Amino acid sequence: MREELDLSIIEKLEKLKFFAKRIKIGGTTGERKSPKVGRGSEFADYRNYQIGDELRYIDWNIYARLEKFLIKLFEEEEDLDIHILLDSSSSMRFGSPSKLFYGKKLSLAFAYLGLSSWEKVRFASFQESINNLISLERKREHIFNLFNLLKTIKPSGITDLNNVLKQYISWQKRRGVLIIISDFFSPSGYKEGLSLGRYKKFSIYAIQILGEEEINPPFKGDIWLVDSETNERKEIFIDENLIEIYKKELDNSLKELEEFTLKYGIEYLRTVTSLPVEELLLKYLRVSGWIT
Amino acid sequence: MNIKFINPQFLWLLSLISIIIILHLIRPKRILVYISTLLLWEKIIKENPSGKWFKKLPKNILLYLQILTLILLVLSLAQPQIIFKGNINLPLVLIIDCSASLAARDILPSRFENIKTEALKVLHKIPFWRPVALITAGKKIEIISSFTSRHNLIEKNIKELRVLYTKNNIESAIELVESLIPNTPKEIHIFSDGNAKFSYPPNSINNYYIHIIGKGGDNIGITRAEIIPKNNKIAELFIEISNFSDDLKKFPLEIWGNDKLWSKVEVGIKPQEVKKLVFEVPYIAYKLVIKLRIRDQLEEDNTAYLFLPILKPRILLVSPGNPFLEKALKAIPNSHIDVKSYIIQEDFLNYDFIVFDRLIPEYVFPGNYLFIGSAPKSFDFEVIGKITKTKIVSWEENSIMSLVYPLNININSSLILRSSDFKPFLYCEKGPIGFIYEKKDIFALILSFSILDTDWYFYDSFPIFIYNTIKYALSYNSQISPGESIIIRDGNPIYTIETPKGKKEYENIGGVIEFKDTFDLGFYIIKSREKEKIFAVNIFSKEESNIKPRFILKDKTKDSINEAGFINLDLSPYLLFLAFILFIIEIIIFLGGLKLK
Repeated sequence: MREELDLSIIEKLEKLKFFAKRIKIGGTTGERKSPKVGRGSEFADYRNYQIGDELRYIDWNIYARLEKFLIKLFEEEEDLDIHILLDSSSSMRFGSPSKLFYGKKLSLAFAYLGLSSWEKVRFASFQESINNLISLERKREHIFNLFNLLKTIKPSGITDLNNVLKQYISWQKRRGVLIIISDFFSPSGYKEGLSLGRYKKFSIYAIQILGEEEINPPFKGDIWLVDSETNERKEIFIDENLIEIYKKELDNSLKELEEFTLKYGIEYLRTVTSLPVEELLLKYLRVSGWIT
Repeated sequence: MNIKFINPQFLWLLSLISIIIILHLIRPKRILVYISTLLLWEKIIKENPSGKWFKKLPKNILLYLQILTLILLVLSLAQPQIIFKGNINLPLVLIIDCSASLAARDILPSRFENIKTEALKVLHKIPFWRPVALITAGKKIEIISSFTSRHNLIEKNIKELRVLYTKNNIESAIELVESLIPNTPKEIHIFSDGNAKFSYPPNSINNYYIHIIGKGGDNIGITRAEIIPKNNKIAELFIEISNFSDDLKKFPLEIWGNDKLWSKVEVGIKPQEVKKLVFEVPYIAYKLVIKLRIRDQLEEDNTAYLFLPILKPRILLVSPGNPFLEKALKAIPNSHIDVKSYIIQEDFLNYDFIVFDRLIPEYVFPGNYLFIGSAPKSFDFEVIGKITKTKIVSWEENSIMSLVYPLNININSSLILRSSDFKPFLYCEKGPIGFIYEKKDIFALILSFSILDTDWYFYDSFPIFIYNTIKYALSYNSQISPGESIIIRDGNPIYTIETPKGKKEYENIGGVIEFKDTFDLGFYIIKSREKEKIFAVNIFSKEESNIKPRFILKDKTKDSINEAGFINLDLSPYLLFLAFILFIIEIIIFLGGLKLK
């Protein structure tokens, strides 16, 4: 089936706003309120004067009343960089529609939501390393740049999530929201990369996309299984019993990722390609508070 | 057992196996299934090593199936035959003598039981596929089972056989068997007690095996008995007793009438002597039983059953008025006469004989009739003319015309009838004027003139003719031999038959009571409304009562039995069927494999 990426999803997202719960980043003042008190326009609290504080922030009225130097604290409004990392390895070609196509639509949706909220959005696809990096400034029109880029991305290569995350996070000077869209079938693993992201105070959103055939393998008998990324072959006789074992193994693997993300405060969402992207965004992500 | 190929040249086709193997080698070994990642499967394969031997099991299964299918196809073309040597291919025929002498108990429990055991032994020895036929040789030859490989059915039929008390007829049985599946050699086993001679065709292609069962000869039997009226009150009872043993025998003879002992006399009879006795008994209707009080090896012929039927007809005269005819009918002894000028349906069922004088119905029910003047339309005849002023000139000599001498009797007018069913018995100058119409269900005497148009009633011959007619229609022979059918014309829909085994009600469908199962010795009483007829069944056969085996026939092929034949079992249809099944399995597996792609 030919998979043609379009902008229809954007129309449905017009009224939605992206919302990151725990952003603690500096830089240019943005639309979001930061828990960090500092320079801003809205009063937050007082604290004692310390050497080095700017005198203009001393509340002279308080001094006149209490003869104490108290510094006015303001809620600092800060902007937010949204980083979208889309897995475009060979394993993403599976599913109906393909996991990559699904991921592209999600990427487009998240990018649009970010731009609509006057955020800076950075997108990159990855296999073993980062590809197709694009930075979108705070203008909705820039979504077309991403749209055009997404159309050129084809599935290929091997996933190396650890390496990619390490590489990408090391490039970033500011913290931000990191959205990772992948099947998380990474031979080298994903834990180191994700934990590094958390260490660097990134607010991470992990979206795992699975194809139906990965949940319920449709093949049986005496066959060769070929890894789409490595072309490695395994001779196997698959029967009902083995299918059941596979399902248990998959379940364990998913639980492991789930527990890891829970432990490290990473937002985690699992979806299948048979669930329409629109439904995922408008129903599930909204309910779980990812977007408002 | 040998295996032979009829078309061995086809075996060269087995070389095609190499092509299958080459083709198999050059094609991709397995179906490739691309998946997103092997990460999970690798783990599973490591943790489940049991899958390894399992996955090897069906390895190359399609190749094996293809090779096997080809081998089976080639073999079926080569037509392999399994050859079993010996007599085992010949159809087997079991001829079992069921005659009365087989009831003899010189070998316990009886000759017949031993014959059945012997026949079962033969049956059990043969291979299961051999076709077997079972034939009984009583008075009539009956094919109990035609050629079949269902030996259990043959066994069941053998076990159910019973002595028929008839004479044996092995000769006819042999003739019948010779005509079955001609030009095919058969193995024929004859089981008999050897008290009757028989022979097989000298140039027969069949193999005969004779099994003679029986060794004793100690028997005395009633070989004939008859009761004949002497006058109106007394009848004479003739009894013939034969001693087939080698000893002088003395024993009491009892005569029982209606279950009461009438007479008992001591009888002495020399070895091989035939003694004839005459007794006087009352001439009345009763069931007479003669018993020889002696223990010998065949007890069934020590009792004789007799019945003397006395004519007691219920007659209906349907006439506008004919005193001469009425008088002639009333002159018949023991008769019951009713006179009517009309008839209803019930009358057809209640009377033994109906006389229609000029009042001829359009059709009649089954029964016995005298039609005077014409015949019912249902008889399918045509009136071709009318004659006047004529005389009776001749007649057929039969029991109806016995003691009747109607020469020159004047007939003023008469019809001339013609029908293929009418048998003329009385003639005038211009043609037949008296006919017999005899069908299975209807007996009728037809006179094509009215009695009142003649001067016959002035003569003595007229009442005699009437009596003869009634007697001819209603008298019957009460003495029948085992297996002989009882046939009675009767219009009643229901009748009962009391046999030595018991009483049973039957439905009369065709207007004729026909009862065939008369193989038991004793009385058979057939009742239909007020009408009753009694029959007696006896052996009465010197041949059967002489139970001593006196006929030994040499087995025709006993010496050459081992090489008498062989069987060719053609395996090609079975191989072809197997090849087809394997082909189907292969298609299923192949299509199953395609789905995976």
